Amino acid sequence: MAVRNESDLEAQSQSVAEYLFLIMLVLMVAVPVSGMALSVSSWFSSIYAKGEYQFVSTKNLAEQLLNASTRIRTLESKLAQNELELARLKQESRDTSRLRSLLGLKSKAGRVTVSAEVVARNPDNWFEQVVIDKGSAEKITVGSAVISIAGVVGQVVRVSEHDSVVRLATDPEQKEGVLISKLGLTGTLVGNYQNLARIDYVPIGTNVDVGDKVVTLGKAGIFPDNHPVGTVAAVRRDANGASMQIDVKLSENCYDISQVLVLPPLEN
Amino acid sequence: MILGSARSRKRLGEISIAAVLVLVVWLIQLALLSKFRFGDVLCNLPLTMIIVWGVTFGSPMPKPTNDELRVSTLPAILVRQLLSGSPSGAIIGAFFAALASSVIPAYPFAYPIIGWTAGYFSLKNFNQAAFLCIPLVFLLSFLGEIIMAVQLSLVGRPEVFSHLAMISFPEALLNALIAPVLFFPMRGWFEFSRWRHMATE
Repeated sequence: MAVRNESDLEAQSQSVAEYLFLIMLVLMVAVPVSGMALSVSSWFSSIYAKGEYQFVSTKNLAEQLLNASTRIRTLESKLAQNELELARLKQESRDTSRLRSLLGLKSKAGRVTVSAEVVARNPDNWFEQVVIDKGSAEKITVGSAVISIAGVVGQVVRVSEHDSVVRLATDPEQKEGVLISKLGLTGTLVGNYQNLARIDYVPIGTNVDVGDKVVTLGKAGIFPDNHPVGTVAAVRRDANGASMQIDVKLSENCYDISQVLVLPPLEN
Repeated sequence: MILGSARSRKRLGEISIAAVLVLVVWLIQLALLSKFRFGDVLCNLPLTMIIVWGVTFGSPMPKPTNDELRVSTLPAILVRQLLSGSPSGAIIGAFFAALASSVIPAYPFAYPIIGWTAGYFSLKNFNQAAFLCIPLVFLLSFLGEIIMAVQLSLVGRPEVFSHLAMISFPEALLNALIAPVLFFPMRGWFEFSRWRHMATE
């Protein structure tokens, strides 16, 4: 009986030990596996969180960039509009000041004047002429002087009812009496196309210096007296050495004129 | 009655197209090109068009055959050559000269003469070598300016030849540069009208 009890006890203790061993085994495997699973899950969750953060921040950044680029585009178009407006205003301001000075000149002239605008230029390379928008209807006649605030522009050579052709001071057929005011020296100014205008037959020994002012003589009743023409640019002997030639740089740029003043010739 | 025949209507249509072309070219020169100066020189679109017209349409005289040339005397050949200018080029030149005389105080005889002369160098005779329009426009522009200078000098304008030296080369160069822009559409029109003419006959 005792032996049987002993053997039962032994068997029971063996099975307990087996169970314990099994539990130990399970624990030995399960603990690291669960730890590993936990760490993997936390690794994944951290990766996900990071990715989500990156995605959200990238999305935000992209939205900000898009907003910024839209704003830049809007601002750029506003800037372009403002620049256009500024250019227009500058042009208007230039026109206004030119017209104001022309008005001053008009009141100073003390004779009949007609303000006109240059509407066309001669279409060939031979004649230095422009067309203005006033004609015989505005009492402009052939021979009328054309001036601007900067200086002499030319003379009217043909008149229609509502437009006139002006021969510019740069045309070689255009001649006008001028005065070098510093010396009281008179002469005839002749155009020379795009080159400097010229005063011929100046007596040798005349003390003309570069930079001396040249003004209109105004004795013929066409041009007003003492209106700027240009400045002396060079003085030299002419081809045969008998007299001097003076090169004159015209004050008015005849290639960029818009508003002019026309002065019909004085009757007496 | 005159407008009755198909041929007259076609001719009238061609003349109308030519008149519109002349006016458009003239307006472009007046309104646009006269504002742009290249080294103080303007390009001359009407003169270029006259030359290109003469060069494209040439002379209506048929080309002499080798046999005809063989039996002709030298004066006969010279007379034939002199007469083989471009009448339509001369007419276009005269149109432009009439328009130009309204704004420049001289009737530019050079234009009809150059239009006629351009017919001597009709590209029909050069196997349609398109690139030749450039040197031809260059040389004929040069010739046109020389004729203009002589004319102006004869009427007593001062400083003509010194100015000629200044403008003739750059103007001829500018004209030569814009020549292909006119030449290719005009040649297209010429080919089309020739094709239509052959198709109706």
